[in-house]
Amino acid sequence: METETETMCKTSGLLRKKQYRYILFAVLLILVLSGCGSGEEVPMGRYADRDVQMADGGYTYMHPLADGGYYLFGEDADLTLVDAEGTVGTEVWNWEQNANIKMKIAVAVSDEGAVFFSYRPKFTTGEEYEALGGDREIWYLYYYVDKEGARHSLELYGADYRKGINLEYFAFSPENHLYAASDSCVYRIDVESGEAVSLFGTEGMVEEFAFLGNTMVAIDDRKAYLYDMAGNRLLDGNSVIDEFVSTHQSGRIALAAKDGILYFACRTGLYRYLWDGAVMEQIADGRLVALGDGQHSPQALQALENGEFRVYFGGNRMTEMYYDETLPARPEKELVIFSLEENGYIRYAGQLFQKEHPDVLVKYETGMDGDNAVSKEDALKNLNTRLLAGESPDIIILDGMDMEQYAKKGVLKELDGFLAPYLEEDILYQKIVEGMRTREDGNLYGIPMSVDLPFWLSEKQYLDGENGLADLVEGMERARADHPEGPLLFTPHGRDLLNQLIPVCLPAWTGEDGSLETGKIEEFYQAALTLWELDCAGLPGDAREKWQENIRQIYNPEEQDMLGIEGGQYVDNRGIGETWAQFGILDNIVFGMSFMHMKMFAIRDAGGKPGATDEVVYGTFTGQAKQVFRATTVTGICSQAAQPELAEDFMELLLSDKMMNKWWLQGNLSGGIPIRKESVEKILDINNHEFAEMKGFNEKDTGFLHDETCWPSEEEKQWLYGLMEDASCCYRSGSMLEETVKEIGLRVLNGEITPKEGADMVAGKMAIEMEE
Amino acid sequence: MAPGFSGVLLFYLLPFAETVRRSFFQSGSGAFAGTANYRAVLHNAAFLRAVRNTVAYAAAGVPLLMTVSLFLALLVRGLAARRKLVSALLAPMAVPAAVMVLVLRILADEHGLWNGMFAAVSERITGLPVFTGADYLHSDLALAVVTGSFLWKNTGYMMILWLAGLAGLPKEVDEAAVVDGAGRWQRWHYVTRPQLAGSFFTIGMLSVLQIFKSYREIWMVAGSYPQENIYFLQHLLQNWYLKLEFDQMAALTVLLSATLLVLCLILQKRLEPDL
Repeated sequence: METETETMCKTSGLLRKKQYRYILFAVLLILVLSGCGSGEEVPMGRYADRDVQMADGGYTYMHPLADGGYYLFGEDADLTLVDAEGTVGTEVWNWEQNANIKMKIAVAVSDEGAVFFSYRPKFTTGEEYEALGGDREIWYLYYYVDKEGARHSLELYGADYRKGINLEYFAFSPENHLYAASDSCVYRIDVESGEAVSLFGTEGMVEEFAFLGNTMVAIDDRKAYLYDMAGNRLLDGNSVIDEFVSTHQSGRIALAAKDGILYFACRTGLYRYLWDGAVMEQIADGRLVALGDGQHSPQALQALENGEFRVYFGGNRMTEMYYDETLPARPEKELVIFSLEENGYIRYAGQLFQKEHPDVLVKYETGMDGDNAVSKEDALKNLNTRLLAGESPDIIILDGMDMEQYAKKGVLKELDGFLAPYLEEDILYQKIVEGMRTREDGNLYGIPMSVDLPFWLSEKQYLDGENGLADLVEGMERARADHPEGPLLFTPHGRDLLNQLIPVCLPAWTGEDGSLETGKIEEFYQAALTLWELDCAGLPGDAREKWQENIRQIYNPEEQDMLGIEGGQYVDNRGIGETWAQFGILDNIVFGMSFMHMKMFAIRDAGGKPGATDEVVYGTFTGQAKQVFRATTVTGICSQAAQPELAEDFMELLLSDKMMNKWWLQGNLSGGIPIRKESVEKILDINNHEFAEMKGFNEKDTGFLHDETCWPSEEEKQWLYGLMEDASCCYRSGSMLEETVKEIGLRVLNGEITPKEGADMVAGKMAIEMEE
Repeated sequence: MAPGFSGVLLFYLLPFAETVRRSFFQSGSGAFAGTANYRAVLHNAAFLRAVRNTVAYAAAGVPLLMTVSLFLALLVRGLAARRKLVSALLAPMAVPAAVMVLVLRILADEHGLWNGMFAAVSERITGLPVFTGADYLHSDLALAVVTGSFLWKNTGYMMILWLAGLAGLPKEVDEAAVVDGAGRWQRWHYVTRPQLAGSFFTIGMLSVLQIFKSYREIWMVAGSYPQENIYFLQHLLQNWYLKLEFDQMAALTVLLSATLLVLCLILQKRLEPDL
């Protein structure tokens, strides 16, 4: 007879079995109802965009109007009205009469056509410069033009305002009141009297204003400030907008307000927020429209009556976003591109590809996107984990990565077949392509989109013949004898010298079988040490530290901004700094080593100094290796790509004449020389003076310096073509060997160890890497 | 039992089984490789170097750690202020890895504290700046420095474990030995030590595991390619991961696991024969 307990156990067992069945049934039901396992229907309709053809009028600012029209304005442009139909009106008033104004900083245009802007005045002498604020404080001046065209300078004043507080951003409200932002405060400006009334303090610089009824919405890079313009009081914050703003800091956010809805345009897309609602809704994915091209941030946003949007990116770039019901809400296919760091060329190509393939979502992923603190090693580990899990991207940009290793492990697709037509038809520089073959199997797995060529400049007497490492040392010795004081090379730190020398020497340090040539490294260290000692001999005591500090200031973008270097174009100005040094404009610098790009090539005469063809010579720098080129944007296709055909299409686009011309002719001339022959010729044939024009700040007479530059002659073009044809030895940065040589090289330059000891240490460290 | 085992199965046994499977295949092509990956590992010079160094590190670190911590435990177990002492010795355990690295650099760098002290002392004695200093983490002394930092960090923790083991011993046996006229050494050798066999096993295995865990600090202070004598198995695994040598990594993991298992069983057999 069963006990009560046994009966209970049996019953509970049966119940448990039944429960399991019910649970199983419920799970299956949920799966079926949720559509799991059945074909998913893709919803249709999403925002697409089209380019708006604009005349290149030097515009930098757009002010949307409620009727769908807009004003355009710019640094060297007239105020121009474009109506709702896109008809460009005549200039509202002409700029020429204000020639004393150096450059406009920020602009606001009212709906009625009044204009207010800040500017820096022109100055040519040190006295004028000092009078305007001097080294540390460049004061902005302000100018107002009313709707009738009457113009006058405006002297601002106020209880909470003092001269020297620079106002950076302005906006007119629909009632034509002017609001302005400094880096810590928002003001209301009386445009008649110039009185600036402080309204509220801000954590950062407010860059954007929008007006929704009586409420002004102002956003900085951290939060939104809501201000009741009728009641003159700051309202409570809005957590939805605050969160959005704080998480979308990359690039600028443009605002528009219409019918109680706020619209936000930024790189990640277009968003709308119903006033006082709880949700920020994304209505367009930035990756699928021009917003996400990575090149430009939206400067102005206009919400139109028909539900479309107009986005202005600055310059002559404007798009209109419209809703297309025929497009799938989300593209069915994905092309995944991976690179360690952001690459402008790839970002731009991805955008172009996206436009040509609306059925494809181009996902461009970067391992180290700058916002996080991911190291290169961590980024590579993340990539390898993805590869291990079978989630391979379609395209890999191999800059900073060990292409040989990835090819050896079967991650990359062999490209010989793909590239054969390009080589047969002589479209690409053959030797450069051949230089990319792997040591392991001699196949092609990656192709650079551009290359840099190493070159040097010097006074003719010191370098005019052979151009190896030993020739540089010999030339430097003679130069030091003639110039006992000051630096000879533009290499403030030891690391700078190593950075300049390594690219042209590193390819010579490994034999054909991959073994390390320790003797060559010792020779390199010996030459580097001699060069460093010769350079240091002219800067005894703390002179080098002072010089380093000067250089740091010149190169510091914030310092440049303070000094008033036009537009804060750090990269360009860095180029200028090097150029000055290399052409001997900076005192005593008689040697320069760098990588050649289009801008460098175009400079002949700078700052009144003699041109390169007379006293300064330039030529290729061979170092220890010959015909070296630095490969950039090295692109490979993954062997496990989910979309191999699309990956090849993308690669074709990257190598196309269309893409290369577009990219380089947009002014990206510092990004190396394209490997497509036709593109190099086209770029050089443009003969566009603007591309070579350089502006900068000359600390000697505290005036702006405009370099007179000219486009290369036919003879020089042929020389460049020849260099490109001959380049065959690939240098790729970021290898373990390079890092080791740099690390130990600094100890050699500091005199802690001898070149021989340094070379042995490199060999010891590399031995483990090679053993692995 | 079942949920616990499911977790172990899901998160340990199945992944390990997958690792074993991968160790017999090529990582790139996925082709069957037989024992090629194992042979490649065993013939790899970096692997042999890493094994040598890891064994040397463990052979120096584990016995030293166990001896020093046991000695300290025996020393302080009768003290009234032992709690404060133990707390003080536990402090290094709470030091974040980044701080640990900083301390190591401050001490062992070429311009660090040790060199400064040695230089000052030698100059005082000889009257000449005869001591030029050394970068200890990039010299033959690197292993000694690393072992020292391992001891510094783990002694307190191990001492607590020893104290716990000692506290669990029955006092009667020790008292009987005292009555029988046994000396201090005899009591340790014939009474205390045999009873601590279980603790020896546990603390020994924990010490071996701590050896492997100390890699983080070593990597932070010396990078992926450190001085030759502090290049350990984890460096190799880490570098292989970056080089996509997943197949060899799998083989090495299997070999390492098997070795640790055998070591564990031997120690258990020796120290806990009743289990």
